Amino acid sequence: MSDFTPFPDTRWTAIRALKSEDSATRSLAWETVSRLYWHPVQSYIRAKWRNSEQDANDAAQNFFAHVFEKETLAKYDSEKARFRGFVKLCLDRFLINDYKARQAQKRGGGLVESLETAGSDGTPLDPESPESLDRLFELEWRRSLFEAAVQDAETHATTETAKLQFALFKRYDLERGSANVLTYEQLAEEFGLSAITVTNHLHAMRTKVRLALLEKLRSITATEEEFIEESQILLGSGRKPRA
Amino acid sequence: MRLPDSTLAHLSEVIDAPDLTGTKYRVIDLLGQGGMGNVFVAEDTELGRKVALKVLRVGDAQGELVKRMREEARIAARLEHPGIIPVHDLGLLPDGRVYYVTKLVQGQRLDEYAAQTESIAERLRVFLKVCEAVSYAHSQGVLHRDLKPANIMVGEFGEVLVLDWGTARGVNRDECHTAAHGTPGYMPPEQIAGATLDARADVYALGATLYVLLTRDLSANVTGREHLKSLPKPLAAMIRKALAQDAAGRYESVGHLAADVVRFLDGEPVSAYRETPLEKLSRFLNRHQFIVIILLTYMVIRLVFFLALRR
Repeated sequence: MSDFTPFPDTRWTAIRALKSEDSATRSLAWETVSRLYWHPVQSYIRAKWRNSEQDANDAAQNFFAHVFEKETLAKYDSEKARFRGFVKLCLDRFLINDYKARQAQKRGGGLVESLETAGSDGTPLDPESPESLDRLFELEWRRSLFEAAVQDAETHATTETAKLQFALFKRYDLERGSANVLTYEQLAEEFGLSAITVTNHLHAMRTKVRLALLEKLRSITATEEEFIEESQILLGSGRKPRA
Repeated sequence: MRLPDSTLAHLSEVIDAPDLTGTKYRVIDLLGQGGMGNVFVAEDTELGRKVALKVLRVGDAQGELVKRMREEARIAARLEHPGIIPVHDLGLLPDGRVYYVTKLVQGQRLDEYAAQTESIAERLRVFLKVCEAVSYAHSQGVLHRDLKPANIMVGEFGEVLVLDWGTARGVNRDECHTAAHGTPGYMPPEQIAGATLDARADVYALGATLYVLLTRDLSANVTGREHLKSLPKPLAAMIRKALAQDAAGRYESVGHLAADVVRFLDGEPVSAYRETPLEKLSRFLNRHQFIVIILLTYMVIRLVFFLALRR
């Protein structure tokens, strides 16, 4: 029996819990949000500032420390924006302020170089950067949610059947390269199963990953409308409809 | 573990594919992606025919969606009209997603059709068929509530089908003033506000649809309807009337809107536009070109004879 609830719990979301009176609830919510947004934030900073991975990690750490200290995310108003947009807005503001502070420090309070025209090393930023950075942030957000969902599915695969299902899923869906994609028959032979059993197991594990994914998404959206809109972005970016 | 882009794209696709085990359907291809879910071309393996299978993206935690969908299927089932897509089946997938099956329509979406059809008269005749179907639904006490070019198909033989009665409601039902289901740009203010709706809500959506059909301007819902000025004044006035912010200022029924379209096609004055004397004359001359030419020819001949006789 799967450990997943058949449907994402609609009562609890980390966004609402960030405003909780109870500090334990707030901590849990904070952990959920920061874990799912760590990579989008880190990748965004790295691309924007053309930083090394270590510098981007430090900057991301500073950002999360800053919003935690100021309880910025608890000020989110779901009627004004999606939570993802709000996090990016906070991040942009933080980076501008951080940049200004560092420039002022460097030049003893003199004129500040425009953030839009130069990277941290003084080289000009890509003129298309705001758009491509938005796309990067969205891509990393999707990747982060998928990774968390896959990890959950693996963690919950405790029975022999579930372990087998995950092993098949890992082999066929996660380890696939762009070339030499396995057929169901080859996979069946590799695992000593029939092709129909492989198909059924793959379907079962994909369903579990899907449910885990939606559960994650539910936890970082505030309203049903936001959840549905974000699910469209999260799940609608794979296969393209036929022309 | 970092998932490469290719794996991410693959996962997005495979985990969204519906598990149709235990049903008589088999997915053939992805047909389209909408706000609420995906539409697939599927095979009904029992009857050996292709169908359109719509799967909602999100599961149904409280069973509310299934209840709503069943209600919608019942609504659609009672609309027997050649311009309304019939619903064949409805069910629930193992992961809790609702699916429903309709006839597979081969053809073009209304906006695609508009892009490829030069003649305004031809486009207006197609619009009249849409009005017929919607007007019939209203006569059966059903509002569509999400009319837009993407929900209207023009078939290979010129037949017109209104799809996606997914947000349809009985005109006199309480649900008619619930949440704002619909599409921005095609929803009247009262629908956005969640107020009580009547046939004039669909008149508004048809006005927005007529605008797209005639101007081919698909950005209307974001940038405003800037191309109205490029249309003949009576048509622009008809669209403005259908899109009146206050429902009282709109056509009172789809039939009234359609009647104005017919008048325009017949070269008659439309109720939405008061003509100047010059425009009346111009329309008269345009409408009775043949008679005017004969009369003018006759008068010229008479004049020639008259002048010749005076010599």
